[in-house]
Amino acid sequence: MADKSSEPEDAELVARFLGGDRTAFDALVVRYQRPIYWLAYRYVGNDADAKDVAQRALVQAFVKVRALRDVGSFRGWVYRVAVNLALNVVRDRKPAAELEDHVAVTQPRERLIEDETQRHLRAAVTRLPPQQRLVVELRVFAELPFRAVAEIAECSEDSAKVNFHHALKRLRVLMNEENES
Amino acid sequence: MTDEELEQRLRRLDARPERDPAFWGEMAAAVRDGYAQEEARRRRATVTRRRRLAASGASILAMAAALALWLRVHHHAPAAHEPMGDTFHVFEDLEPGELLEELSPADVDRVAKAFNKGA
Repeated sequence: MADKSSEPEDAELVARFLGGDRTAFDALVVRYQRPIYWLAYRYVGNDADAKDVAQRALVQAFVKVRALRDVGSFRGWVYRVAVNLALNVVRDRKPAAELEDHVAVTQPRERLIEDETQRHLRAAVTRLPPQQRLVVELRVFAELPFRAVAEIAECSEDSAKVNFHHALKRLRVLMNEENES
Repeated sequence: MTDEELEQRLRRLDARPERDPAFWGEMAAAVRDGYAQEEARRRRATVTRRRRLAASGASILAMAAALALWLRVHHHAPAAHEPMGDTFHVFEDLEPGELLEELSPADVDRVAKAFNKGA
């Protein structure tokens, strides 16, 4: 695996891209296509829509990157575009589809209970308020530090932490509701 | 369930479906194509906008030229209170033949009367 510290920063790649370097464009696509696809997948729940959202998000991000005041904020920019596009897809086809389930049918009882709990948790995540869900997605699944989460969610770092805390509380409540129903 | 346990559960929920390298290659190619198309569309839109702007500028110039020509031909017409016989029309840039073509029959009459009076 390549040493990450030797890889060029986003700001450098964006500057090279703006200068007409197509290899910088390709490097940014390779760097972000997976996390953007996975993020979109968690929102839209299927491969076709996730792929479409990821592609459109990357294209939009590159088309409008000249408008960025800070070229180093490319990551936040492309994540934000992807989340907005994914939310549009989900909004247009309510009720939201669940993630494609890969759970095998024949499993021990404990595993089934565990899977059921996870299914409730997955459903609860989709019912979080948009800002809380975004913070959970970015913090837990995209594994971003709170500073980056705040940048993408367009809030302060403290606000991102508070949102995350509220999201966990809300998830517990929603999971209880799911269990009871 | 503690926050840590809940976070652990959330992490296990993470969906990162594996895709083969061809999938990512196709996506990268689609992004390149999409970007190229979008850039071409933006360039076309820019050219169209500039052409519209140039066309509107040209039409404004044409209207201004027509107005200037009209004023040049007509602004020497005598005011209503001026006696007709003392007014002379001077068309410096026009040849006599062109002058006659530019004048209406009423103008020709007026010029003829003035000429006869002067003669």
